[in-house]
Amino acid sequence: MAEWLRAKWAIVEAMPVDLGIASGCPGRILTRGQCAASCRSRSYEACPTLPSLRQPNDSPLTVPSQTPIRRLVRGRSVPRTCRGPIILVLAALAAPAIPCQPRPDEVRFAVGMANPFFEAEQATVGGGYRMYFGNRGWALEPEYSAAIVPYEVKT
Amino acid sequence: MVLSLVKDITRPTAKRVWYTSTGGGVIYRVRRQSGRNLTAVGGLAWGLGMKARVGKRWKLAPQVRVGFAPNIRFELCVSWDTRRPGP
Repeated sequence: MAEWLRAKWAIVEAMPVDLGIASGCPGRILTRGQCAASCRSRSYEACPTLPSLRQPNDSPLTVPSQTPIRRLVRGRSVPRTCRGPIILVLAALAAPAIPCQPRPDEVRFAVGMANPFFEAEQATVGGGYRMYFGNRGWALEPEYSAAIVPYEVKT
Repeated sequence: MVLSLVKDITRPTAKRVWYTSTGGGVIYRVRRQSGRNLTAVGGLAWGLGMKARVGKRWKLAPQVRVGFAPNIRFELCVSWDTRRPGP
């Protein structure tokens, strides 16, 4: 029976678990074993918790007590992590004032959320402008955009 | 920095305008890892949005973007029309 279970688990272990999004390694197809061995990010807890998949020298998991976005909304981690994006957004908003650039038709500021259905959720912030050309509704939109990962990532 | 090509699907002068955007570039990712950690991630994205006029020069535009490296983004845009509104 034990032998049979081990064989079954070997099949499960070799199955791809995701496209890497949930385990913090976007773009990589990971098996459960690889997920545990090479992807010890915040999303590591999404991996199977079988003792055999944990390495003896694994650092303890850091699971946020609240979801990251909720923490962000409460403002705990905004000041330090948002400094870069704020500079980018201010640069985007100031860009129309540079005289050598074509005058934008719209100045835009955007906030949002990326990957809300996965473990690797991020807050996004961006700013830019839109320049229409012709009269058929075509436009070019340069934009400065940043994704904020508002939780501690331990490796 | 992301550069997108935007096309208004419905009549651009309407009060609510649907639009699509296609573009690519670099998105900055800010992480809290040993202090602040800023990395740049390249990607392509296709989006669909709807901008609604709020007042004479302001617009609100919810939009969704699906892109590669695989991600999906929901955003709310506030935009200010630099052109003077017509009479």
